[in-house]
Amino acid sequence: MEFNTYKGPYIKSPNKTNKIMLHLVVALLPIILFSFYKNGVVLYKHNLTDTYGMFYPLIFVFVGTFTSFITETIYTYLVLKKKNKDLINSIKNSYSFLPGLFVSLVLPLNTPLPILIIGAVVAIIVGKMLYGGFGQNIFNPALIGCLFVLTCYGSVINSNGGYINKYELDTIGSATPLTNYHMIDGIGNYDKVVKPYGDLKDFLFGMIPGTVGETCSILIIVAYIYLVLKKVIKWKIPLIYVSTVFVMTLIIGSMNGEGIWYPTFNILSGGLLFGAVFMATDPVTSPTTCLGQVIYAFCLGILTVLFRNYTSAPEGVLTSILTMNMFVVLLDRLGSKKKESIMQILIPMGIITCLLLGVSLLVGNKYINSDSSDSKFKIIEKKDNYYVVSQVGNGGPIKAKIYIKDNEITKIKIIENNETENYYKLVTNKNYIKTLIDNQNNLDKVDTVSGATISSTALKKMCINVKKDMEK
Amino acid sequence: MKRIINGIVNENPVLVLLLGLCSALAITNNFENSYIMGICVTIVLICSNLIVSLISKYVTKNVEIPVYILIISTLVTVLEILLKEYVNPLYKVLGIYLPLIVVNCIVLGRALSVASKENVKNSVLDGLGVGLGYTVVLMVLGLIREVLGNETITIMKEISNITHHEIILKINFHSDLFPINIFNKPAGAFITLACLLALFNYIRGGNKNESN
Amino acid sequence: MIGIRLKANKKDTKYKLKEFLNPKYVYFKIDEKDKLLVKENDKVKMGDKIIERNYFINSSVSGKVTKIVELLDSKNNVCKFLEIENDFKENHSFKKPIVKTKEDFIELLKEKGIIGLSGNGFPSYIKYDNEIKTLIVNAVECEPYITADNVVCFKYINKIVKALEQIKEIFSIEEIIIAIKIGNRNLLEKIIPAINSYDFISVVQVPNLYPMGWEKSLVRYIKHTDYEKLPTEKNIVVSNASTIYSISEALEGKPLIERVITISGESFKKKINVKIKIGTLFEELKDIYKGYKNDDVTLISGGPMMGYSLSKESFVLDPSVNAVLALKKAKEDIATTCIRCGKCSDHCPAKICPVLVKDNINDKEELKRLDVSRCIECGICSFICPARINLREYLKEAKGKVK
Repeated sequence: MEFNTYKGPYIKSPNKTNKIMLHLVVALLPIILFSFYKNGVVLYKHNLTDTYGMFYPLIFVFVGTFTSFITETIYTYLVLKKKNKDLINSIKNSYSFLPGLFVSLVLPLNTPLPILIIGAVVAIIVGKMLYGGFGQNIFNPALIGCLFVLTCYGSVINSNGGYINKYELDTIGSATPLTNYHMIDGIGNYDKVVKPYGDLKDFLFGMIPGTVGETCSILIIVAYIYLVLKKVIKWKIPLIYVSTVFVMTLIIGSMNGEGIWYPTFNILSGGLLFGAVFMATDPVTSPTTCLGQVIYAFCLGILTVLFRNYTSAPEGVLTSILTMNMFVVLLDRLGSKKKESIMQILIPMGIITCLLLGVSLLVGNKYINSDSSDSKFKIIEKKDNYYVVSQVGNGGPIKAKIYIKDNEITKIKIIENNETENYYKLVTNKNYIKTLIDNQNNLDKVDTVSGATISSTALKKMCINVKKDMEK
Repeated sequence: MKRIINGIVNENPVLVLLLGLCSALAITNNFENSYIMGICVTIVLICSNLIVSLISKYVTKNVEIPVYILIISTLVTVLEILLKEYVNPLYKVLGIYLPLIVVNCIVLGRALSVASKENVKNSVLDGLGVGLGYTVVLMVLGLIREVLGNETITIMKEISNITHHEIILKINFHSDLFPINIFNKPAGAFITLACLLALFNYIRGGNKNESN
Repeated sequence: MIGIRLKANKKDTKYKLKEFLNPKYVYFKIDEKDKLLVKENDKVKMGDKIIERNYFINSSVSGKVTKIVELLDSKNNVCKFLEIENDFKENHSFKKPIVKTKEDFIELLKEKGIIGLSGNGFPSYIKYDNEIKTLIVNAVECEPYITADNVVCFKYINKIVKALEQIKEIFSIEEIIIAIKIGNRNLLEKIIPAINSYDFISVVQVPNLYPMGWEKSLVRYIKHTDYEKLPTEKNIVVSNASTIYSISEALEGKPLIERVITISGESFKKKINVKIKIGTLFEELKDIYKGYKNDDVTLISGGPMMGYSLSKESFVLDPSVNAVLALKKAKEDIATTCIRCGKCSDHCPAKICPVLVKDNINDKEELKRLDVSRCIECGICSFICPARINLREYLKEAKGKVK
């Protein structure tokens, strides 16, 4: 009797690539459904929108996913010139819906649909196909698409409402927790940072403004545990990433006398948990070796804290993941070396620990020393009846001439500003300056203009600082 | 005539020889800057090729690079002085990229590889062709970047001092999607140049056996 | 411990043993540098030397040397074999040897042709030619389906222990450890009374992971040390239980002429361990396994992870075969793109990164830096890859390039 021969182990483990992707999608479903509830059903119940608006979050996610799938199919057909069976095989094995799905989960909900489509197209073509297709890309494709959209159309999205849905606009305020925190001088305290949005429990359960994917922290933690139990995720990366951020913000907070709420707030706000569990562990763009993953996660944590506190963007997760994606090849080389002595592990870990402590101390120091005065405010000229001042806004310093009489501000004339047209239009349209002058004695209570938060806050702070100076 | 076409298509300095990229990326913020820069580089190229081809017989091999650079820097300095005197706003806009023409690889490269070996007529025509090629590419880059990033086409703004006319065309796309801010920034320059490079080489056929 | 859990599938054959000691013909492989000690039509007795390498190969039956034929060996390659026709008389001239010193022992191993019976066929005289402080008897058998070593330990533990005592005297070994897999309660109950009176022999139960039976894993787990290339660097010798049993037979005068193999797998009609003469053709065992249950069968010599698939039933069972399996042919899996999940690097017992080897398969410098010569070809990387890439083939190719 003749038998067929073939090589290799004659038993195979049950896990395959398509099962891994299935588990990933199953883990994402509760998060999408929660966002449907928070941004659709709740609005419908309060009669703030119609049926289309109720289903809008689901439509949003569907459009993003479908666009990336169609783009990759068209690209494979036209550019790579694959037909029939080849084409079907390519599509089955390439999971093109995933970058689009993540793009729609990371972009703000009020992104206009054409811009979302552009984001998904860029994510697939620039982030994935140009590098050679599935398995060959260096950067996380969803983050490339998001970065493109946020850089090009940031002002358009913000003027459309940004991260906030109509219900939140009424009850909560006008900025996401991280943007709000970013504009506070110094380190802030619980009342200013967390209280406007509820308490920390609300952060855990997700009733705060944010993108589709990132708000409900508890569902993300459940998804992480599910993926670890099914053994389809690189579990070391989210654990070490989030712990690093926690430890660093704990050091920063305790240097400034803040309690445990400060590191908890830093973890639960923004896209940190979502980015750590779903974006940083993208199998193609993260290291394969154990030591490589550990160093990757540590550096991600350090970079996130650095970016959040030292740059003008309130979110640090997107750029830190893209930065560390560049170093994956190096980290793999480091991790694949034969460990001849314990020193080969201790030296990189020692450097990382020093960096961690160094950055935390640096950031903590910055906050200790910046308590009293506002570093973004400068007095250029001071005369008896006017001040010429400048305050850093969204695109640079805003120069203004403020006329005073009898210790009261009478007129504000903006000399120079570098704000983006669309933002600035919102401020001038709503006669914000007149509101500031009218309420100059309780400036703290004046609301900022939604959609142009940073510019309007700059103007408000300018008046507050001038008043402070007048009182001296 | 063939030489001029050669300089624009087959040996286009930016898209084929990949020389002079830093000025191509930095100066193409708007249309006007780019064609002014192109004209400046063309003038310098023609003059330097002329002079180099005249004296190349008398220059020995080991001093040719310093000698040519000396010639080019003299020409650029003269151009700088002329611009500063008569078109001051333009001089300010071009900024550091005007003295950088001295080390622009196109000028020195063409001087070493063509002007020192050919006769005067060929060198001048080659300089004209390469300069035109550079100008055309810069104009296309500047046009794309300005239209997509700013919704305008500036034809005469800074040089309006001498021409006494200001022509700025406005294009309104009537859509939320435009202007795309990234094209005003350096990242947009890289993206546009990359797409243009890919397209140009695809159209040319990307012949693998073609020698440089 | 690095390793994976495999489904054992050993229930069908555990502790059962049959014998098949009368094959019609036996075959012995002739390598290039071998010296034949017999010619055609010679009459041989059981145990006579017939081929000389650095050690001797003995005839496993008494009969007549007929001819040299070409047959399939256990790795599915066509090789030259010396055929001996059995006369079923079992004539032999075994004599109990006098073994007092280490040199006598090494000479005995060479004369009786003792090689490692765990599947690699490494000549034992090289292994024992060292100073030994610790001897580990490897009865772990981590691959699924195989139960040959277990049944040998189960039935012949007394002989094994007597041989161990003698070996200890010759080498002045300090301790002897018998390693078995956790969960073999019957075997443990048989071993403990047998070693009761000897204070230098102990039993250690190792976890149920593949490849726990690898020398390095055992030394790491039991002795908590590590070595670079061979365990003799730390004066440790790891020897298979069946080998020790054949050494015990050699100490009575009987050379390596028979061994126990496992016949198992879903597609055989009957599954059992069977004691055979070395050199039997597998076809002759048809009465033992009684045929196949279905048509689409993969016939494997060795275990399912490290074995070789065969194209015909008529292949020769040389001493390195410890099992013959018939598995249902699995659906052909086409390799898809690597998703860089890192599972291969996580589970490799030799701490190599197969994914990096696959990426740099053409770069010799990089392969040297990745130290591919550590690979033991256990097959875990190919087993666990979700994209079904056969990483072991890449590693074999890389090892060939670096040599």
